[in-house]
Amino acid sequence: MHANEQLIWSAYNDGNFEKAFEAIVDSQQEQLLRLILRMVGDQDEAMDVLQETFIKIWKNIKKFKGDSKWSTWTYRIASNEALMHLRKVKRMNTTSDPIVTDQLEASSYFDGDEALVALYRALDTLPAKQRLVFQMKYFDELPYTEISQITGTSEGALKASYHHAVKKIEKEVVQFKLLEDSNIKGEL
Amino acid sequence: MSQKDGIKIPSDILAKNALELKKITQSEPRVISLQKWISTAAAVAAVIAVALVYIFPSEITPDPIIEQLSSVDPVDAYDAGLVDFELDMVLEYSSPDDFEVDNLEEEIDVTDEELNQLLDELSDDEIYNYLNS
Repeated sequence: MHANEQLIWSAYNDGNFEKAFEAIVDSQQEQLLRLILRMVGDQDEAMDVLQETFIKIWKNIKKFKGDSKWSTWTYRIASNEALMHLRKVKRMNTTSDPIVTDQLEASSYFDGDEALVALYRALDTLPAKQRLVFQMKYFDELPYTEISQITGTSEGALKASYHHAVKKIEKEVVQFKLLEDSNIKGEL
Repeated sequence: MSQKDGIKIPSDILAKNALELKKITQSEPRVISLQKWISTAAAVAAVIAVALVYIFPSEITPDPIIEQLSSVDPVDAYDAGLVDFELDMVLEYSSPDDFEVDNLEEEIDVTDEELNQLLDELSDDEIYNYLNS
């Protein structure tokens, strides 16, 4: 078991829920913020969603049964909060929006190069949930088993979803590069 | 140092935010749960109904406005943006372990059984090649 998980369990088993919660904040805040920021784009909105996520974690910490890792459980809550935020605030139901990448690119937390921006632009063409799965697999390098627990989706469905996403993204990135090249040639 | 996703969050921001997040344990959750909200609303409605019957035993007739309101599905009203419920009032986790995102199967239009049969024995490369062939 990972040291952070052990620390959380140790406090939790002692009935010290505050300490367990604080250990979750210390060990998982950054990873959850990354996940949320990639989905939401705007860093202030991401901070709000992160806070809502931790409110949910605190409210439900006593109900956690240990069926999964702590990080899997918190990822699940954060994913749902991010998706709900997209639906509620950005009114996005099934597809992503270029504004997410625009906002992410403008964020002071974003340090990616042009290739990465092109990848995010390609991700904009995916449905929000498919984008979430792709990001967990590609960026966070989570195994299918864990993504399956987070999303409540079978591994078979995830594999199909991920590879559909890869295929789509490759196509979009190629088109994006062609467009960029033609723009550069036009400028010359 | 930024990671694979190109996101670089300064450690001082994380440290400061961690202090704020840890304060969550010191306060009661600010959102009223849907269950409590419904219970309270139902109790108030029952008291008002009894009071009205007691005060005006023969004068109560169905109010068109109430009839119209009761015919509207609260979820439809919420989806239409007519009612701005707090998130928790609409989606309260009954159990965190039970909480799931919507199934992806709807988007890719296949069943678990079919997928498991087709994909579980294939490697990532095989699936990739298949999809790109």
